Amino acid sequence: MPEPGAVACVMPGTPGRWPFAGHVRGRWEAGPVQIAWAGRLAHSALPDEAWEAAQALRDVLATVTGDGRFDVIARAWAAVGTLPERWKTREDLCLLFAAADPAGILLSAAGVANVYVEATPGGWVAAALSGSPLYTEPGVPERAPVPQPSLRPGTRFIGLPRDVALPKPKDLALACGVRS
Amino acid sequence: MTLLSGDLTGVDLRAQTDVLIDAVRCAGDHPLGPLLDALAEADPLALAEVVCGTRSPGGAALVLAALTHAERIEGALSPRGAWPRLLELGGPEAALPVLTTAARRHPGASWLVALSRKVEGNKAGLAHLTACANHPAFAQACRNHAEAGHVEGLVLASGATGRSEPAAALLGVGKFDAMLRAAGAALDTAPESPLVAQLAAVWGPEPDDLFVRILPILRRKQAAEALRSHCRHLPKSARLLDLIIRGMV
Repeated sequence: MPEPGAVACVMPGTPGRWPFAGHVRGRWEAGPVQIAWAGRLAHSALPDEAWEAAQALRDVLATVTGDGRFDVIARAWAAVGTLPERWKTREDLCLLFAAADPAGILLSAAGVANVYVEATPGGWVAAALSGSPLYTEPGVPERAPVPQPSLRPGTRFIGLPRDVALPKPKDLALACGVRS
Repeated sequence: MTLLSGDLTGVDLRAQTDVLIDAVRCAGDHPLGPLLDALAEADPLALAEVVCGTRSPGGAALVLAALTHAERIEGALSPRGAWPRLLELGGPEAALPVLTTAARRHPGASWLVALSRKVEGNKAGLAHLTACANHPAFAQACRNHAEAGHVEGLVLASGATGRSEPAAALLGVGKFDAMLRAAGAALDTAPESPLVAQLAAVWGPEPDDLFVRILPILRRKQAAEALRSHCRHLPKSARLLDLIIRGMV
């Protein structure tokens, strides 16, 4: 069973002037159930608009709760489905969820081309095979994607949108905007 | 004084450039505008030769008068070649107008960074950024100056324009203290400046700790209230801002 606060997701920024435009990262937990997320919305917009988009995504994700890993992921996607149309129609959402309860960890994503898990300290390996249902096109999915277990044990995950490469381990924290 | 009054009758503009240059050299206090106007109309290549050519007499009066014909001069020489040459020929008196005109005409040009350093020294970037504050290339220009280490120019430009991009550019190159000064200057000038969005886009998805460090620079209640409206998912910043706002008159 993952320790409280152990499950975490990150998503690298896109190199450029505004690497983290539209990026969000967060988590919720209650008792043995926890969910973490990292994602981006409207990342190619100018910072003002991307910030609005990120705030909208934070608004809906702030409501997420659940009774187990399947339930909390289903509720998270339901919350994402309530995003204002303005943001849904952009079809550029990239979002990774990792949810845990005492029975294990599940992953679910939209707009993510690769997910890696930290299987050993600093050792990142693929959490899913290519062709996995985890990997979908960007955008708010019409139906909640089917959650997938990670191929390898671990509690920290990186979701890579199609236009972002896996950072080198020494650059990982800064590349993902993790500052503390 | 016929040539200086703009009458080019009987002058072969390509073959007799020396005549034109001599006229400029001997002009004294006589305005050069009419001659340059006439040359710009008749033959921009001759104009460029007189103003920027290897035999040009140079001087602030000539260069300042030529700035109104910048487009014609650039048609004859490349902008990248013309502006450093104008700067060299115009001397200190014409330097800032030359830089400002170049910046207005080519706000996104990377060569303005070196030109700015030459003209403005430790305030490099101020004229360029002030001149192009409303241009789409403004953010990139800020980034170029930040990468060149033009810290003071960026801080001053932030205050002059009220824009957040200089602070964001300084944050992007790790100049944290300078970023704070630029952010404060921007908010003093324009309290509604979109500082939160721009700094977050550089910093990362969890900007709460960053903003907590910025908030002590706030001096205007209007700026604090504008920032507060962005902090609904930033609990530490929201709490601190509520305290700050309550303490402000």
